[in-house]
Amino acid sequence: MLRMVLMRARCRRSARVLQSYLDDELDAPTAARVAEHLEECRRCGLEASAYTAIKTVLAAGDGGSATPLDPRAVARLHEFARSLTGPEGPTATA
Amino acid sequence: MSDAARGARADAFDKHVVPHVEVLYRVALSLTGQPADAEDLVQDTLMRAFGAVDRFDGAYPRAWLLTILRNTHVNRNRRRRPVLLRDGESAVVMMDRLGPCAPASEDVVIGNEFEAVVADALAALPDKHRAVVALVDIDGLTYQEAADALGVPRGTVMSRLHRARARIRARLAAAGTIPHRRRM
Repeated sequence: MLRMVLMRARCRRSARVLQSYLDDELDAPTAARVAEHLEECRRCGLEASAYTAIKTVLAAGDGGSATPLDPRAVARLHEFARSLTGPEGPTATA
Repeated sequence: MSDAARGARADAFDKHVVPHVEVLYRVALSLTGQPADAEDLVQDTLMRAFGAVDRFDGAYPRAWLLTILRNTHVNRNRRRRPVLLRDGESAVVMMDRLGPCAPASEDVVIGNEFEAVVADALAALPDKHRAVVALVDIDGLTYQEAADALGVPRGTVMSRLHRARARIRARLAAAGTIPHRRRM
């Protein structure tokens, strides 16, 4: 019984910081505690897997909102940056 | 400006600014939703950064550049659409009223149901929530960098992001793609 209560408390603590954990925004000791809990608790581990899958789909652009970078636009911006530092660039814009 | 000072400025610009051109363009796309506007916005940002780089202390260049990008974005919209930015209105409130940050692509090939549901859920998010998801999950910014780009506190980024993901997760559960969330 006590074991279950303690486990539930760890589940709640883990759930509160799960998103920050997945985004690598936690300090190392807290992240280590969460990682340990996710390994020992199947339900929290599944929850973490669900959010990881969501993040992966979004990062891959399959969520439909990501616009792939146009290499020509990036090249033009680098060219623009070079023009600023070159001999013809502005001298004292502030 | 002496040749030496000009050289030092160029060196600082190459060191602190140029490596971040791609991320600036990504974030500009998220903020404007238009490739041409995003390119103009990054060019203006680079100009301003070039003008200020000799006073920059070198700490956290990405955060510094994202702040310049946001300020430039706000100023450009104020200049172009004065009725949209009211006195005292934050950039985020204004951006919410400007409409979706990035229109959903029409030609996305949806590989499976999970991805389709995520796409639908993303499109259904409130604009300010979708903007945070775009900056953190798609553009790969940290919470603080997203906060700098949007001009809101870090805690606001966290709450919007977490709420947005919970909504996406709920849609997936409703579609039967993942289990319903269990009670703690």
